[in-house]
Amino acid sequence: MQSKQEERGLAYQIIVFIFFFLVLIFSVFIGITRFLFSEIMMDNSRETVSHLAKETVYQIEGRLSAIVDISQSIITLYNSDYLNRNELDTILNDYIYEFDTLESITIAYAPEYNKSGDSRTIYHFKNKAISQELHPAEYQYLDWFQIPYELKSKCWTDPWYDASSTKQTVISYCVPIFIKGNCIGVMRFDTKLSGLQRIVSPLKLKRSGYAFLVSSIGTIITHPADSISFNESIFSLAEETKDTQLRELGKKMIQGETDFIRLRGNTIFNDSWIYFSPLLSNNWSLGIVIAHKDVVRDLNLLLIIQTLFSVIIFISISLIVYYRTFSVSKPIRLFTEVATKIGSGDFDAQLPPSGNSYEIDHLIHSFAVMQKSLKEYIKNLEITNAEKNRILAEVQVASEIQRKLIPANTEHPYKVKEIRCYGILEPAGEIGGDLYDFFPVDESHFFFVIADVAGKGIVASMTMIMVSTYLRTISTYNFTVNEIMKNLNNFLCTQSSAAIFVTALIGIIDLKNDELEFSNAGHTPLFLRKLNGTYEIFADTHSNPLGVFENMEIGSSQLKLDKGDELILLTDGVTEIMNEKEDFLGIKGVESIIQNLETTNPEQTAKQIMQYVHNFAQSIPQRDDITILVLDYKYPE
Amino acid sequence: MDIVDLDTSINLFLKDGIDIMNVMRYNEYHQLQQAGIDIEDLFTVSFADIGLNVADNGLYTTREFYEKHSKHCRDFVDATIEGWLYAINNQEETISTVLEIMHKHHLPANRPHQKWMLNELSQDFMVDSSQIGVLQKSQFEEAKRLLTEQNMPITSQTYNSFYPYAK
Repeated sequence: MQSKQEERGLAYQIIVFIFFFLVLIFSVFIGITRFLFSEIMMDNSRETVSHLAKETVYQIEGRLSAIVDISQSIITLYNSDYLNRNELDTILNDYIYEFDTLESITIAYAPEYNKSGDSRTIYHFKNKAISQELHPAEYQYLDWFQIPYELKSKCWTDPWYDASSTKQTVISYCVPIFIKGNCIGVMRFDTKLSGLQRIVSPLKLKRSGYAFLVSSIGTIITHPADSISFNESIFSLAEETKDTQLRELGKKMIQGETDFIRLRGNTIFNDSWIYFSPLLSNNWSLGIVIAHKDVVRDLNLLLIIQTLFSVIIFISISLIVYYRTFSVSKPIRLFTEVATKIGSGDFDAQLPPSGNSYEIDHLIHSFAVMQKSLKEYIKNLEITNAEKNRILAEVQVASEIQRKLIPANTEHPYKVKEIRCYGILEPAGEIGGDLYDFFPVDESHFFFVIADVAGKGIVASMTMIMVSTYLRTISTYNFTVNEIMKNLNNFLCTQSSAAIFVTALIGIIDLKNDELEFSNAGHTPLFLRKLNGTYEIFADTHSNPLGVFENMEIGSSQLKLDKGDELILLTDGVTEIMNEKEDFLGIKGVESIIQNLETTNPEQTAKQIMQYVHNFAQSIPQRDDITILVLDYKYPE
Repeated sequence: MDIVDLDTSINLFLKDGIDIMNVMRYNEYHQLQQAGIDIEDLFTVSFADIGLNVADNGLYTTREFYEKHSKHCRDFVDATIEGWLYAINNQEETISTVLEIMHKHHLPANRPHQKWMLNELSQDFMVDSSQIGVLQKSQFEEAKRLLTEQNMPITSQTYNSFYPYAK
């Protein structure tokens, strides 16, 4: 519970929001940085290695060019007729002595031109000039002889081990010798491979960068790993790891292309960038390798710094937000305590003095106003409540008085043995506007009435009391029902101050002659239920409702009563009650109820009708007073 | 068309000094691939496909020497066959040994090529495992016929005389 509260806390929410916002911002920032800087660093790396490669190529070309220059000089000397063999060999020795780059010189004649055995190699061993005779069988099928001899053009060989003379791994510049247009042999100028290795091997780039040389057929001539030089070709390395990308790179190298390519295979190059550029003099290619991790090392360092920086910013902002929010929300927390006190009824609880921001001050001020208004409101509410309670008490008294105006149910009212009566009045509110009454007027006449004052509440209730009292008074003057009704109408028209009307059905039973005279002023019909279960309905009214038109003529009806006849009187609260489908019970509904009655006294009849009415309405609340009055006449015992 | 004699180098072919050369499938054919040439770029005619699949490498000696040292000769043949079988069954060890010896003598060598060579030779050697080291009469006669057709020097010996191991 506590942690949930903290999760909903202002500081927590702001920090979470800032976290996600910063993660988004810095992710985008780092992504853009990585994208832009990786391009820049690639370009820089390419630029750096291309400069380095050009410089190295220049150095190698310089060393090879020196050999080529020497060869040209010697060929010129050879072709001159001024020197005999010994003089030429002396000069060749001088060249070898003078130029460190020159390891040995070989003059090799084709078999048909080596009749006098002049093929020889001149080299120095322990500062001693040596001239070693060669036999064509030793060399005529070797590349250094056969290729320039057959092609009749100068060329550089791949590295080879000169086992017969210098015992060195050398590369050779081979020049065909022509006499009168015929190629008679080849002159070979050897330089040590180690000389080139000394140029290439020291090249160091970043942490793991290095350079290597590849021959025109892909043989790796120099490489930091001695086992690779001279043994492996770029294609054998590709074949060993089935790396097609490396093979394609090798093809580009031997085709003299320049490029900067990334390799990702499992070769000795691993995940590296390789820049390669050709040597023009012999179609070799110089490759410079830089590990990818070295290329992007600075970028990764930058990204790590950026990430750390982001984390530090986030932590700093979070701390600031946390403490600031804690400070700002302190008055709110005090405020919450005060609000709780006020909520529990302590309207005099002391508000915090002031906040540390305009909004909080404003809130405190507004809350103080609300506290004051609330106090006044509660005070008014208490007064109103007291007044309401007083009125309620008075209403309860009125209700009590009204209930007492309704006659009590006894089997034979006022000991009139010919009549049995039972009435039910269910008011919709505390006090109602319905009434019924019955009493003997004299020894032979029995009066009854059922009436409904329009509306409800105090006015209806007071009118009902007026009607009840008036009828009790006037009926003692032995008026007929229509006269009583007429007097009541005039009384209501003159005495009732409000625009109110009353429907009523008044009847007087002549106990001696078994006759009923009744008058209906806009009221619900009278039902007459015979002893055999049949019934009659008297729906005609003798006038409009009372209290509307003064001096209104009102008629009446007479009918003969049989023994056991039962009179059923209702108010419109019965006929107008609604069910859940908003259907009224109606007169037809009442007739249906009466048809199904199996009762033998007014109490059963009244209660059963009420039960049917309730069943019809089900849960729909009662909106009007419901009144049922049942009388039976001379019910046979 | 000129014929140029070659030893084992493929470089003259690579330098366009010659247009066509014969190669051993187990050796120069693979060296060409290791020089950056794709097989698809080569037009290859296999000797076997044109009826030239004849006996080639073998152990030869003079009849005189054989009759004088017949047991040694047979032991030598048996040892040679046993050596080949060991090499075939222990290829990595064989390749490492060969590479070590070649490097010692400053001969360029790399593992993929030696592996290729051993693999190719193994297939030739093991083409019929029940006839290892046996010169087939049909191959002998075919070789004689081909050499005779080309007016090349050829022995007058019969198969059984030339190859005393024949059964």
